[in-house]
Amino acid sequence: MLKIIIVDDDDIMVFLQRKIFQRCGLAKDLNSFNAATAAIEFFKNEEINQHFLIFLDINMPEMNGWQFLDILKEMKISKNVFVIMVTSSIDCYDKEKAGSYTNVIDFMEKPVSIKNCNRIKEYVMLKEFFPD
Amino acid sequence: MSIKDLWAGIDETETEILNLIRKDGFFKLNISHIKKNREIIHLKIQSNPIMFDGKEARVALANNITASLETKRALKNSEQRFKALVQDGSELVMILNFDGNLTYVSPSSKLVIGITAEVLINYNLFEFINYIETIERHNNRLKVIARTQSHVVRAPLSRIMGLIDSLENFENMDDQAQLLSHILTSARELDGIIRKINSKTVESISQSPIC
Repeated sequence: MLKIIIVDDDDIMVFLQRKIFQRCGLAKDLNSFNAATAAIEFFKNEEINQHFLIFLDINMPEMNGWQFLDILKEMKISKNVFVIMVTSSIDCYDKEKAGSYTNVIDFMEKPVSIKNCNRIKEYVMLKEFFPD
Repeated sequence: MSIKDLWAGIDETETEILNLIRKDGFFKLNISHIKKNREIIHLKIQSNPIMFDGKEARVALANNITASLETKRALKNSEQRFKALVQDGSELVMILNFDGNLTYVSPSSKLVIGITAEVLINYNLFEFINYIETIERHNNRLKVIARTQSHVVRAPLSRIMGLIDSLENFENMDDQAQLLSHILTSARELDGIIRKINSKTVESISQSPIC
């Protein structure tokens, strides 16, 4: 079972992503956090064998997406966590930086579309979670 | 043995030397001589015709200029070394006084900082550095504006794009009113950001060193 997590401080974006994930059948087990710190707290209590797919925003107050990734990679749960960076930034520096994190499997420019969403199910590392 | 046997013939040929000497009147020439110990010395000869005891004669003054020539040659070598090290080197070399006024700039300045030595030498180095720092500060302000475009402007814009996409694709969406209200909120936010960038750009331009 793959748990889907949205981490984004923008409530409208979270609302939109939820709608799209519902349409694409990704929302069976979906949680969202509007602060990266809250998401870290959540992961502390999760089981190590559980698999996660995080849609992570970069530009957030208090703790940004990069700081979140730095903490995540030190956590035991890290090996079963897949991260897709979701950002409104078109700065290629962000895209390059995303490549340096092993947890990051993709980089998406906002807005997340249904097409992008369907593509996620085709990833080799996620295929086992979407048998149909 | 005549004096001709002592000419080393380095500077001028024997014929040229004889031609010079045969002329009436004053002459001067540089000549090389072989000393008894086979060492070659360089002489500067100046000669004037005089009447001596009622006979035509010449008074000649010979100066040993060997050391002076050696010094000149050494200076030339040293200048060539300077040229090789400073003028043709890839490092930018500048000579300036205590006030920062430049007296020498090596040609490599074109390669190193993109400004020719002829232009750079007219500047005072301290003022020039200050000038560059001002430009860098200005560029940093522009970078902040560019990054803001990328992150902050695109946030509400991408939201609007996503909301419109939802409206188009989910015809039966029960919360269309909510979507429309979100579009309006995002549009207002975008408007506010554009106004902020505009005032920041105007402020930055007014502080520009070029203005």
